[in-house]
Amino acid sequence: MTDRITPVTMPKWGMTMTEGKVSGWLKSPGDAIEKGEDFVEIETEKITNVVEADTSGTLRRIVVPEGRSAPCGALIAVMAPAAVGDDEIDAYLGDFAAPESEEAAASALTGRTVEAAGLRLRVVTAEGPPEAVPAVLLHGFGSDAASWMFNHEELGRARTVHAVELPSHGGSDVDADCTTLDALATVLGAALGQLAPERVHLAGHSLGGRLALRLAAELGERAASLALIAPAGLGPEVNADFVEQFVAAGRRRPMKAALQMLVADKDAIGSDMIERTLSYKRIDGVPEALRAIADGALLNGAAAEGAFEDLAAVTAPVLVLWGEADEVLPPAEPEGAETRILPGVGHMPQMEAAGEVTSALARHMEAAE
Amino acid sequence: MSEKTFRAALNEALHQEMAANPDVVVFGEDVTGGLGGDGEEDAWGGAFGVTKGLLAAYGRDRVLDTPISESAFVGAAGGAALTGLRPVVEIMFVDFIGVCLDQVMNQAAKFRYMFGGKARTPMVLRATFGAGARSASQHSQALYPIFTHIPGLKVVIPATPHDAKGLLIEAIRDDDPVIFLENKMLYDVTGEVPDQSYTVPFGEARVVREGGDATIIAFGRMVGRAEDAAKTLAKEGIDVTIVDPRTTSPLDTETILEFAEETGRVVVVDEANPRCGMAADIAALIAEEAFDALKAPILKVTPPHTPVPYAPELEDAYLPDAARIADAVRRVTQH
Repeated sequence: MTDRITPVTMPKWGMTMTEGKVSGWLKSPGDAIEKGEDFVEIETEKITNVVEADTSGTLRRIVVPEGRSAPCGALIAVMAPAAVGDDEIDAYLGDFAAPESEEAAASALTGRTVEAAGLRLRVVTAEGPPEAVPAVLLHGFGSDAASWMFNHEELGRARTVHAVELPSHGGSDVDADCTTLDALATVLGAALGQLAPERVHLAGHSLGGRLALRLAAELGERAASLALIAPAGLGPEVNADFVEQFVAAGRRRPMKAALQMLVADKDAIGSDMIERTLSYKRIDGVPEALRAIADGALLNGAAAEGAFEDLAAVTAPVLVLWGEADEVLPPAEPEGAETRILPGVGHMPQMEAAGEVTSALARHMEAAE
Repeated sequence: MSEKTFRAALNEALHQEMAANPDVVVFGEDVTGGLGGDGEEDAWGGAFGVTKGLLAAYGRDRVLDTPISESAFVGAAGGAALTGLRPVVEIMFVDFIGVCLDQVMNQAAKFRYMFGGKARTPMVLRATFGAGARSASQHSQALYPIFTHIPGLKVVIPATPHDAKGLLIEAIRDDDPVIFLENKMLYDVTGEVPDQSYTVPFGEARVVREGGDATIIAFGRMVGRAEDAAKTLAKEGIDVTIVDPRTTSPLDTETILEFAEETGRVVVVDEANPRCGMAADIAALIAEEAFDALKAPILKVTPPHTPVPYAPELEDAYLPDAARIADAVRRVTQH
């Protein structure tokens, strides 16, 4: 009967997560859960996220109660039909083999560096079926590949997915001269030529969305699909307060305040995310480069320049996802693109509504192939 | 960003700053690891391997082995700093500070003040500290309270590879004498360290984790032990904040007080001896500034007021461990 028992394990999001904390059970033992329904909140050092059910069933047993932590891969709950007896569930719990700690720490993501137009860019890759058209993800201003931590591995089941870190971001080279949309797109275009020399699905968030739009316009038929998440340039002007606060923040408190503008649920910003962002901003040359990118590619109409011309030039199907409560780039429904507004979500839909965004991206790419 | 050891992170900081600034020089006992022996130049890179490869990259003009005379080379570092160089000197064990304390306490620490603000002393004194290496009582102390007590010195105690690199670069770029203390038991600990050059500012604590039930303030190697304790406590439903001040001088009193007030229950973990140590100093700060927020007495977890024992069983018992830290947290939360 054990094939009717479904284990629920601590998820692993991104390369560095080793354990998570159950911050809230949204269902109680005995409750029915539909596939795709949110049923547990998991808090990592970075951020809190809701987990959706992979399959429908009844929540029978909670193994890790609220407020407790468990390593990635550990059993946190058991789902089974009502017909399965409690003794069977007890037996299942006794037999469940906890993953070795190294296995739990292993990630399907690998990092490397590619040389593009004179700069070294860091690329994090989830290897998928080689016959499928690969995808390239571009993160937003001040972020890095971990921006896709909740989506990356899942998307990688259907295709190889590369998250490229923008110049002066993450582990890529810092270059205070590569700061305009044109300059950034040139470098990313060169990287794209190596990562996906034929067709490619493009997805971008915020500034990365604007860059993905430019690249899709340039690639023409080579672009298989384009997904834009809260993209810069297609809606109202970017919130200059956010950009200025983010660029100026040198210490924990102002950094926390700036990062909280990114999300609808302010408690989602954890201490580790604040530390990591500060650590990035303290790399030599980064503050100057961020300042220059803000001016060269985001503020005072820089992102909007040519955006609708680029959109008109894109031949691939375009999907736009936008958080209703986005304080950084207020949502818009640009003409010429299918737009979905996500309720209760801020500027980070790929994290705040991870499951919904992942499946929307997967379906969009699948349909375009 | 890649996984590096604490040792490699420090080595990378030295390499990057020496490459960036010709004024940075390194000297100390055996920092090249065997100067003078045939074929053994730079064989080891210092007693702990932190300065490995510097001699080959920057030559003997900038990387010097000194005689076994701390008073001479620490004094020389103070003088070199006054002339505009940025010396990084290594005292193999901080316990040896006794023979050169005058150069640090009465000279380097006082130059700016005694010369009416006209002198800068951009020197870094690196030294290992801490118990656990079976090195007995003259090679195992945690003497940072002595340096913290002396105005004019900055005192740095990194707890992670990331902070080791960023704080050492900050120390080298700082215009005041910095005492940079490396817990010798952390050298092989690994963590994420950006490949690029970066700094971590002095006087800003790291909030290691946040939890509402109690606040643990810990230094150096004790931060990891506090994290182990936090994991045990989380399984019991006790959620703690851990604050790692990173520098004892300047001290981030703002962050310490913020979380002391937020949780009202505080445990301070310090590897130094308890009398006049950082635990006592921070407990006094909180008692004075945040008394009204306290819900329990502030507990200190420290070694006893004895020298570090040589017997391995006693040395292990001497240091605060996760069990003792967790126990102290249980006591403040149950108060």
